[in-house]
Amino acid sequence: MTCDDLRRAVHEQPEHSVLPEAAAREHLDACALCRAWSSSIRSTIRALETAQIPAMPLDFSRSLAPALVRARRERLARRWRWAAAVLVLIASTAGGWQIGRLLMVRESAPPADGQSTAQTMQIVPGQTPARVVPASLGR
Amino acid sequence: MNLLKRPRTGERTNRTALVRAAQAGDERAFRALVGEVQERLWQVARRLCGDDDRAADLVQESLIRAFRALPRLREPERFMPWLLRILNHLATDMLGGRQADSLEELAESGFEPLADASRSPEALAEAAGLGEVIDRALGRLPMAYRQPLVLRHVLDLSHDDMAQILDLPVGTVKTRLFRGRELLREQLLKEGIRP
Repeated sequence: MTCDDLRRAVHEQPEHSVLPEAAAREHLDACALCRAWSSSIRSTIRALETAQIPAMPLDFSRSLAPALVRARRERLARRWRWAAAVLVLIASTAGGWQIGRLLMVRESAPPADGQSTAQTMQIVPGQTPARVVPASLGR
Repeated sequence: MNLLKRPRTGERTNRTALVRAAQAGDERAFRALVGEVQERLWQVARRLCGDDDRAADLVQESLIRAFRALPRLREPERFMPWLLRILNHLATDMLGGRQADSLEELAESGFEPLADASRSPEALAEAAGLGEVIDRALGRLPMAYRQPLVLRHVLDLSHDDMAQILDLPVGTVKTRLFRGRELLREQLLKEGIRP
């Protein structure tokens, strides 16, 4: 086992307490540099794991409450905006379809008496206007 | 010593139920969830940031983002890794640019050793200074090396979990952990500690 192999083996160790292989142990016994290095790495890890972390300065579950209310309102507002946008889209599509229908009627063959289709259509509230079939289609 | 352990099966089931309730819009469930995980988040954030104010901002912002994104979480049982992922991404955005970004920069930066050098870690711990020394030493490491160190040695996470949280292949995580420990050891030496 080389010095590099040993270093890799030490780092692969989950708890860095016991070396996995007899070969590693043998290398450590023979190499003073690696022995010092291995001990130094273990102390570094121990220092990192035992160093105290200051206590939490605040209870986030409480301090978060206003932010959550804000976030919820934003989410609701966003949903309403979407709903409004979809409604506008539907309305405009339906309106467009109606306009399209009227235009189709206008562009079709005019009645024999020369009056425009729009003039001949009687739109009664609450009643679907009668479909005007262009003369070219027969019937 | 590991400061935090993974939740036991019963705790995890309870947490999953809370996550599902929070996903359905129960704000109280989300706050209960925060109460459960905040200590762990704080430990990670505090170690990554090195000071209370920035760590509190990081935790708060991570939780708000999590609340907003919660309905999109597909695996409620993976809530904690998902939350840690948000926190780590945010930490990279918040702190990544302020630290040494490369090993070359780190090598060039250098810093003054403490006057009373060559004390053992135990002696410093007795003086309650080890936490500060570790904060300073970690703060000198690029974020790419600091994150695996903290996830591994503060939260005791597995390589697989770390890889998922950091969006990295397992091999890269191991390499960074390896280099991170070496760099931390060097920084502690510079701080005047002989690990």
